Amino acid sequence: MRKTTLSIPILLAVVIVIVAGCANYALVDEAKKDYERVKNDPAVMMHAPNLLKEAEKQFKIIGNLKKNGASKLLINHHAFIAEQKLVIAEEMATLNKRQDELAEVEKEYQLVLGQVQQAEAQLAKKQAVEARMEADEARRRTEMLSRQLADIEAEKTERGLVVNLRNVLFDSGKSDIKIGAVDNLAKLIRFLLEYRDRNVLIEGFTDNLGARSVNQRLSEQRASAVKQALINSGIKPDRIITRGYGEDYAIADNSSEAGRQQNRRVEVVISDETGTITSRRPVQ
Amino acid sequence: MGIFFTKHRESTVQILFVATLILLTSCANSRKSAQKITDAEIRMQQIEQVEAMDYASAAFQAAQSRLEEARQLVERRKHKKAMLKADEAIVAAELAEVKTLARKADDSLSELKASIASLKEQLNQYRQDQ
Repeated sequence: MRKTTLSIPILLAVVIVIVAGCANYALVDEAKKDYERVKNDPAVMMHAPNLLKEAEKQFKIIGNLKKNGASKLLINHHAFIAEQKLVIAEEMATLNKRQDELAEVEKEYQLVLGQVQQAEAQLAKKQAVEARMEADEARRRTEMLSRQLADIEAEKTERGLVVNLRNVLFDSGKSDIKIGAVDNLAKLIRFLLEYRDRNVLIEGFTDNLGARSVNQRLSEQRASAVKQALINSGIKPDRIITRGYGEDYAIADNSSEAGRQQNRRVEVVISDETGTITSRRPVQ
Repeated sequence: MGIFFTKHRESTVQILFVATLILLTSCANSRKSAQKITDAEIRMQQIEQVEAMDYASAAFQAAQSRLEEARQLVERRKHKKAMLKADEAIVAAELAEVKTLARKADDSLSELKASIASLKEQLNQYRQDQ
């Protein structure tokens, strides 16, 4: 009976030892499995060999602890440290890989940035040349305009450029343009063909001979005669406005034939570049 | 008392020696665990500064919970266990930091690639304009 009583605690102790010996160290197993995987990763070997060694050190500690029958808590602690070191090693490898990639991409960025800056400089140079050429062209056109305006004897007035077609003369009571005056009109036509953004207002005037109403109609007919001459030469009708002012706005004394001839005239007001023409002030 | 001390002198000295040793060991463990927790707290502050809670939240939380466990163990005077937990907090914080740096490098890489794409587009536009 005594023999049996003694054997139970002994048996219990044996079972405890066996169970302790075969204790399930899941964390350790997992860490070891990860170690086998991570140690074969060339990136880890290259960038984080020290962390692998730290993990190995933890496994040695675990081995010794197991031999000495240390607590599962302590063994799991070292397994946790080993596992963390392995994950850090992998992350470190990733980080180094990214940093290498960043260095490469940074080089590419600098290269492309340099190309962009070079292209910007070239474009700016080209734009400067174009701007200079445009300025030269504008200057040339201005000079040409000045020459042509001088040629057609345009006067600068508050209404803009006014051309008095002095040589476009009419017989008294007639609206037909006299032969010989056509040459004078030709310069105006050339100007209008060249500067298509300019519109014209053609104003007809008469002397004071005859009835006012007749003179009014005659002045309108004279303006229309000039308009027709322009249209016949290729100027679009929508660029031309006509007005007749009869004997108003005389520029010379109607008491002499010479004065009356000057008053039988047509004036052409040339618009600015926007096509705008300022209207004449009414007679006081 | 005097008679007792004289009679059991050797045993008394041994008991006093062991008690002193236990007291000293306990004090040393207490100091060590406090130091470990301070180290872990410093690491936590460092990873907070690099925004680890945003870039590596799981690792950050693992470190934080282990630090908290260590603090609680100190309160229960379980200094050795507290040191283990503080050590674990430190290594988890290390992982959170490396993960954060790797994620930030990923972001930088993506941004840089996007910048290159934009520059190339700009370059093509310039070449077309020329």
